[in-house]
Amino acid sequence: MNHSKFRAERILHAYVDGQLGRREKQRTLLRLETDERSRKRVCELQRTKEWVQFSFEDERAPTRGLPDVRRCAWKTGVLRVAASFVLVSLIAGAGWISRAARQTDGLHAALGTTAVRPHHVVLNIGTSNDASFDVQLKKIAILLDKYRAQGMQVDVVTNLVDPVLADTASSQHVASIRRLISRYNNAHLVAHKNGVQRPRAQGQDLHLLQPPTNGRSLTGS
Amino acid sequence: MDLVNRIFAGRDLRKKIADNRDRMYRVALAWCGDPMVADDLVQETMVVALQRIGQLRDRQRLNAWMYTILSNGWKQHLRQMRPTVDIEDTDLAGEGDAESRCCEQEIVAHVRRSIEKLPVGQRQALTLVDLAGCSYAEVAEVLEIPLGTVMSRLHSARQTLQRTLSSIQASDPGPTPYLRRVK
Repeated sequence: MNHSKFRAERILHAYVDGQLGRREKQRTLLRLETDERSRKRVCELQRTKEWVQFSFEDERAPTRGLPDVRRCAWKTGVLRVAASFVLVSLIAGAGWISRAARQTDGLHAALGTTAVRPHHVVLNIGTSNDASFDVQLKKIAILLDKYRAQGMQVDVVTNLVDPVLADTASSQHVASIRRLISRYNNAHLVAHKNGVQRPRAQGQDLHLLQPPTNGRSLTGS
Repeated sequence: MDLVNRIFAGRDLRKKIADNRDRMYRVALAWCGDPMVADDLVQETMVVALQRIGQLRDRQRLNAWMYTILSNGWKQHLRQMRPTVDIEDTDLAGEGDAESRCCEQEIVAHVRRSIEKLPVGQRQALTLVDLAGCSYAEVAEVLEIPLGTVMSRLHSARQTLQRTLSSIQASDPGPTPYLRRVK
């Protein structure tokens, strides 16, 4: 059988099996209208196909029900128990962490900081309450003492949420912060650039108490 | 809501798997020719399918996925079987008798025996298309062969079957069918 005949034969098989696309099917149908041999061949192929189907038509599987895979899937059960245990542990861990975070009352020791930069701790000043700011500074001082003893650098982050706290002209805490900076050489104050520039653009008297180190980032080196 | 949908989808898949049983059994029977082995193969396929149902990402592929499992089970069975007689060398039992008894059961028996005698690759391609109703692309996926090979195997298998059918009918064409006008 030469190549073109073999190709024609394949097309007829595909036609009988319903595997032709619309255009190819149309072409084949037109060919069948004019070509007696192709018509005969299609009949033969169709007949063969139907005999194959007919030969197994009455066969039914003796076993009817679906297999019970629960017993077979004991490994899956063990995995589920293990996954549940991990989940419970994670929930308990998250609860413990949130409790510890609440106890710091406004001071949040950022998780995973040591992974970002070894031997560094980030303290976030999350309060904008003018009255309790002194208390926060005292707590920061205690933590700075603790981390200094361990030889760790501390980045103190403030988002400058309250203009009253940030404004060096009116803030009552300037002297306290100056003392903190001069006393602890392991502390570094960090602020967002926008947090400094925006109040200045609004006309607030804002001076940095510590010389800026441009380009330094918490997630950097 | 998502959980409820997933539960219903899981049930739907289980039902589809169960509905496939008879068709799979026919294919398995055509492959191995032994009802007991065919039933075992199908049951094993069901177990594997239900255990790994979570691995099926595209549900449209359920058919091809299940026949792949069946085909793997069949391959494993063939490896364990170690036949002592080459099936290609075995003569068809009662082949000569068919000349005088061209009834329906005889043709069916001949067709079945002819399918059993086909090389494994041709047998699988033919039965997956004709009995399982798989597309050529699905057969290529199940058997891990190119599409062209599927078509050649199908062509060869049908040629062999046609020769069998022709040999039966050439000897005894049987009663001539006629059409009756129905008003």
